[in-house]
Amino acid sequence: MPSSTPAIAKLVSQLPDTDADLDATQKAQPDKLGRPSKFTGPDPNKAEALFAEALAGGTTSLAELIRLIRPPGHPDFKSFKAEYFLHGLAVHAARPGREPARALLVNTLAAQLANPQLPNPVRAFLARELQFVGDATAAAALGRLLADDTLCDPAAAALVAIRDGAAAQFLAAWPSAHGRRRLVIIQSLAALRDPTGLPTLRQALADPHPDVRHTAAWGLAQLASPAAIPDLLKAADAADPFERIQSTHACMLLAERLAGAGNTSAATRIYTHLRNTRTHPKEHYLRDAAQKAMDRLGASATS
Amino acid sequence: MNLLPRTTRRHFLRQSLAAGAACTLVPRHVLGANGQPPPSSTLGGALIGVGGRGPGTFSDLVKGFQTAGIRVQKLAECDVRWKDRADNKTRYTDFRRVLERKDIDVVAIATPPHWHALISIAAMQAGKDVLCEKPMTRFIAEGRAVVDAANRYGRIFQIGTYGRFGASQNPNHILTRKIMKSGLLKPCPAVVIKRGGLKVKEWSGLVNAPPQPIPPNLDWDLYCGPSPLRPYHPHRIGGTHRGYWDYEGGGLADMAQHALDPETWIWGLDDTAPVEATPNAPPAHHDAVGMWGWVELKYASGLTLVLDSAEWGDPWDTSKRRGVSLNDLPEAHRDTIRSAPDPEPLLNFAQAVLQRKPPGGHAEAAHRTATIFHLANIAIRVGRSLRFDPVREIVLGDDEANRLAYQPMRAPWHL
Repeated sequence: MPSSTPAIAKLVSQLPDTDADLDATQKAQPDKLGRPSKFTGPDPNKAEALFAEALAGGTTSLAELIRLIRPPGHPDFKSFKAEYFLHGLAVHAARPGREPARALLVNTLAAQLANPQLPNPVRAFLARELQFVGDATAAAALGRLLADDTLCDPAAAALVAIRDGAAAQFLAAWPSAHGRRRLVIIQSLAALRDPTGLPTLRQALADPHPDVRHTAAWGLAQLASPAAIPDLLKAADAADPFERIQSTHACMLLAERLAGAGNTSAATRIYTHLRNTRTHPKEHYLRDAAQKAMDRLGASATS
Repeated sequence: MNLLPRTTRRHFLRQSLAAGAACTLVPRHVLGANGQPPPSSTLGGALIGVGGRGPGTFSDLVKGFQTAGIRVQKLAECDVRWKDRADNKTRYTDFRRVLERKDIDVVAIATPPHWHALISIAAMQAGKDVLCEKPMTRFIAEGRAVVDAANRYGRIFQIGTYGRFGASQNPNHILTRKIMKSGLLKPCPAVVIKRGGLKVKEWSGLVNAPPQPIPPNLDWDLYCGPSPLRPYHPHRIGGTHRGYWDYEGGGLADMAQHALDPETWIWGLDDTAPVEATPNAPPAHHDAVGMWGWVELKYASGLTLVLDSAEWGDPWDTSKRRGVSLNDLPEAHRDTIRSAPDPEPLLNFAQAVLQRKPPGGHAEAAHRTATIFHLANIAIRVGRSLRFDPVREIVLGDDEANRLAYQPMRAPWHL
């Protein structure tokens, strides 16, 4: 395990051991320590006091805590406690009314994402903690991980959860993205429903990879873009069975979003197309769904 | 008021068989309304998720239709884990290949719960009716998406737990439901307690398990699906998956849909959710589900619902348990309740499919029941009291809690 300030290591060590380690200790069986195990957790009040003490040590203490973390299976792994401690501390700092503590933690986590001495699984863990407590101040640090094949997914999830400032990070990463990272970026832009992602999503609708195309179609539907209607209707008439199902769903979603935004004529155009083209008996449920939606639109238009 | 001993699947099926003799058989051509395939006595079925409860879930489905004189022929089954067991004709690893088949009408889903919502939604998008094992979902946003899909495509969704079917035939429970649905009891003084039986330690996760090599025939990426792609360990699959937030929510998520299914019917809670949740638990682990003591949930009506694990800390005070009766109302209101019609009998999945009407455990009801234990788990995870808006389905003033209610999915999977 890396060296650390005694204070942080001591705080971490005060957390209870796993059930298996407690059992082995009571039975004086040191050869059975460290077995994979469940655990029961500390007294909440004692844990809160430990977290508060660690936070009082500022950035230095938090960075030291992060340096103690090693994932199970890593040659330096000794205990789950440091990882558990950091997550508990994040929950503690995120309580309403503790904004300075939270800002301190978020800034430290974001800075440590760039620490090359940390194994990637630890950096992924830090990104997941930012998914929980992060804010716009961490967006740029997370955005830099979008270029890393192994960290792109947790960084993207954190950015989507944070939302503020996230779209710009995905758009900046898009031109140089390859393989799975393209899919992750398109999915994230779609989930964010940020209008600045519209041109990129339209571009991705012609992507050679079907997952990217389906995800882009879903994103265009989320954004309620009338300009996407021709592309989505064309995709929905695909012969490939699952692509047809997915793209038809994107059309239904787009029509709902358009109707919700007051553009009933564009919504009706989509519903009419689906009603008229779903003639196979096994697709009549779609015809019925489109007709019912049009009936609702008509009812709302006349009411 | 104590929670009921739950109706077992076997008991439910016996009741359904008896009820089926009296039910009206609706011909097959009503399936999906106009222009459907010609009348037939056979439906195409598929089972997605063949381990654990899978065969039992599909058997429940088949028996329900048998009662109505309809045969369900299993045309496909899918196991999202093992690559070497698929022939892509009747056995699949990729559920999408099952759902694109036009000869399949009804689907039973018994995968681990992190797949329940996505596969249910995809099935309904493809025109299938769905019987889905409990728990319905892994987080709150998934449930609303399932409800929307069922409504959008006019498909039948039934959750795979049946306690409410038995409860809905009990005169005392019918009376309680009528009192609650009348809205005349303000505030509602009821205190409903579920204590024990939630398998907290049993379905906890390991906190120090080192990664293991992925078995060559395991499609680990597909198994993880919308959840983070973690290092493999055998404890994360095969039933013990329940102990990880990525796939379920421990014993609370696994057992509470059973325990609460009758209660949400009795107390008229199928269209609402708690407005407050207060936990008593040690700090939660970020990955492995762990211990908790109790969670107290309050509804806008005043009803208090307590989930007490009986496995950690001081118990919730069970002496506060309380039911409701006509005596809680003024005499004039009692007559209103007495003269109110009894609720319609609940339809089982087969009856619902044949009649194109919502089943007893329909998507909205299942989602609202799941919301109870999801809120409880979120409160445990953030370690503080929550206020919840049952209409907008968001936690008020708590970003971290909302990030657990609305979780990003790993691409390409999305709601």
